[in-house]
Amino acid sequence: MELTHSATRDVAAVSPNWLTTRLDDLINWSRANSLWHMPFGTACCAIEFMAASASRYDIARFGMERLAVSPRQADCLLCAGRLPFKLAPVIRRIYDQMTQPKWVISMGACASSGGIFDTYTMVQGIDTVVPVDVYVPGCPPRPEGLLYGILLLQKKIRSETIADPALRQEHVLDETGLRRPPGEIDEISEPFGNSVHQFRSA
Amino acid sequence: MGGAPPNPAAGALHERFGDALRRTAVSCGDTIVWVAPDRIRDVLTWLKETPGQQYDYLTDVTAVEYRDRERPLEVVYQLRSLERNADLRVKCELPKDRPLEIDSVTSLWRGADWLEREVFDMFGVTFTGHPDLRRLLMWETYAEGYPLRKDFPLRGRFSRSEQVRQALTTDLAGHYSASELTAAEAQRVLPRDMRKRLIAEQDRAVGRRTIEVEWSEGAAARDETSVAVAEDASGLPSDHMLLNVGPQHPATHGVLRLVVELDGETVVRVIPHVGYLHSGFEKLGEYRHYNQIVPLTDRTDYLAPMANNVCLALAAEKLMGIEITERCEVLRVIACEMSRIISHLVWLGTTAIDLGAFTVFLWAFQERERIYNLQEMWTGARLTTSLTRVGGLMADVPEGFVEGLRHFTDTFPKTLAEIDRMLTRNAIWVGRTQGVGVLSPEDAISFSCSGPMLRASGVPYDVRKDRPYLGYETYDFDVPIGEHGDIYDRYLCRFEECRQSNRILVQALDRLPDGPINVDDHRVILPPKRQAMSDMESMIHHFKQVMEGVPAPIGEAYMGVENPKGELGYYFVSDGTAKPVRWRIRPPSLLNLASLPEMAEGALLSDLIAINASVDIVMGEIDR
Repeated sequence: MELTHSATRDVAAVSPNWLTTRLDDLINWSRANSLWHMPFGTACCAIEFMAASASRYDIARFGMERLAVSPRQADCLLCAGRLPFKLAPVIRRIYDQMTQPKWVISMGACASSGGIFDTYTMVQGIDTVVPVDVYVPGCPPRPEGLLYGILLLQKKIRSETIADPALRQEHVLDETGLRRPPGEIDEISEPFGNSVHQFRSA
Repeated sequence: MGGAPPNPAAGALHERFGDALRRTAVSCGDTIVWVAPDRIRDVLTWLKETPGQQYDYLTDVTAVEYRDRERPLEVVYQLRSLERNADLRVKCELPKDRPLEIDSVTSLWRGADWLEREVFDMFGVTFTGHPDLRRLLMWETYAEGYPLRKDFPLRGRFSRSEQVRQALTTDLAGHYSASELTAAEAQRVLPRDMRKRLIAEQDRAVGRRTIEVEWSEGAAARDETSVAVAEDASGLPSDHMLLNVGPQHPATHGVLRLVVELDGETVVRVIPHVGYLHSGFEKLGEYRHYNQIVPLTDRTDYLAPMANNVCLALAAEKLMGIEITERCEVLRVIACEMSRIISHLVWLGTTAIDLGAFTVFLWAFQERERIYNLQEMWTGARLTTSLTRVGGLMADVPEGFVEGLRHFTDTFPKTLAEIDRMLTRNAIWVGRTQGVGVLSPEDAISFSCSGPMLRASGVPYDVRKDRPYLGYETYDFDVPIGEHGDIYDRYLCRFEECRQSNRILVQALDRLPDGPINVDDHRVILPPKRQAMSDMESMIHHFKQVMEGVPAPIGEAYMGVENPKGELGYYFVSDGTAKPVRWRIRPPSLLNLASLPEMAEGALLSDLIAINASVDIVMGEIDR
């Protein structure tokens, strides 16, 4: 209780005043319009991502034609495609290597929820591994869908403020090696809808 | 089972091996012989080397486990004689109450290496004599078991959180496991800390399979003192260097990982690692009706989804003995050739980027968008088309499609000519590709390569010509064959295939007949909705198909089609229910990729990127 109180007081001490909001505007404007992607393209969605960067959809219109294939130079991790468990430590490491500020877009049904792959090998949503800012639905999303997701991310960036240090906190794995409590992960990963059942000869 | 007469090879085998040939059967026109497991290597050697048999091409190695617990597990070898254009399926039964062991055939075909590793990974069958038997798709410390066994649950043995925890807490460096860096020369060049870790790992792995053999030279160097000795003996650090490329690298075309040993800039050794996109397609297929598998096929080779759909429908129809209509046949040809064009365009664009030419990528994607528009018009989706159904198609082509495609076929050659002008005689392009990554015809066959990879090496085998399906024999088209087997020839082959596909499209449009697209059998094809709502019988058909699926007769069928990447084969085993016992994908890119070390070792690092690009891999299909 006391902790919450002091945290609120700290934030109140610096924000929001005329100076920080002006600075926010400037910083957010520049950040939002020069997002460098780290394209973590694994499967079908990567093809639609390529289509989005090619001539017809031309992602350069939004200031993000520069692909930073090194995580250390990237602002935005774009996970396009399914994420098997074998790849989970890889995306986690890439996320850890990226410097703040950083954002994550989860492109497509598989990245967001496992999609049709409710199997022994698939992470049921990359948000069990890394925090996600924008989910783009679709299997795969059309390039317009991806662009809309990116615009949403820009909108989110524009509403951020330097006065909130919580925004730039690193989300590290806890001592169990997980990002979320086990119960929560199991609940997220429960079969839903017409998901396949486990019968020996079903 | 029955119908066609068995392959004469069965009789010859009986004469030569007597009782080792357990029995013979014919299913859907394919001859199957069951052979005693302890004689498998003799039988296959004889089949490969005897004149008159010459089964020189190993199409596939896989295994089948039946839902009946008592039935033994079967290891399946699909053989082909390129010379005589004949197929033979050899099976070995392995009773489950004994250890699952069988002789390796890697000494006969180099392509068997990865295929056997996959069977080991998925079924736990040990191949004795395999030089490097370790998991192919799952990671090596995978603890849950053998995924394609019937007692393995679809969602794995552990809870989801436990699976995530195990995945996240794996030491990533642990993926560089002992067995991967086994070669003695690598041990000498490793930095000290890494060598220490490897030796610790090796100790953990003692008693496992081939690792001891592989490590025999370093086996003395187990304890701390002998490590020091080994280091002293090697003197100054060697100039060899280990480089990890991938799994997240822009030039690996997906999540392929290559561990490369470099001497300066020369590639000494390259070890490809696959499985980073393993999604459990084959397991998932066993839980689905045949028509429900169609959406899965979109997502295997996602560069040519419609061609995969067609292959699946053809395989299921072969299994069920269904004859499709004339219009459906032509429309499927159109689907296949459209897919070939867009797939080759992605290959062309991305390979050009890898070699430094960005413009080609933009031009190629411009053309792709035009085909995507047509695909979307037809199926409603740009990429995940799910076009076919068993016995027909999801939908007929809409109004305006034929005109749209005609416009495309008229204008596409112009773009091709532009790309041709840009690349074919371009000094940089020629310099980077000619004489690089050469694969001899013998090696291409030994590695079970297919498609443009095989043809660029000078082996004239195209499934469309040699065993026509969908009436391909009635179309007038040429199959380009390379001479040198280098990247440049692969480029020329694929480039020419685009032109030929365009030719086929024009012919198909010209002959597109009127008529129904689906077979007139409502046990297989859903009756129209209006009919299902008003007519009792149609409603029953509708209900049964949706709830129970279309049952296939007991038997098995292998259907290979010429996909853009090579020969895609779907192998179904049915036990009479509406869901297959086994759905095996014969992935052309996996087998093509297996030849990468052969092509790249001795080349420069920059050539490795070009060679890898020239294989035209798609990870969704390799890892499945």
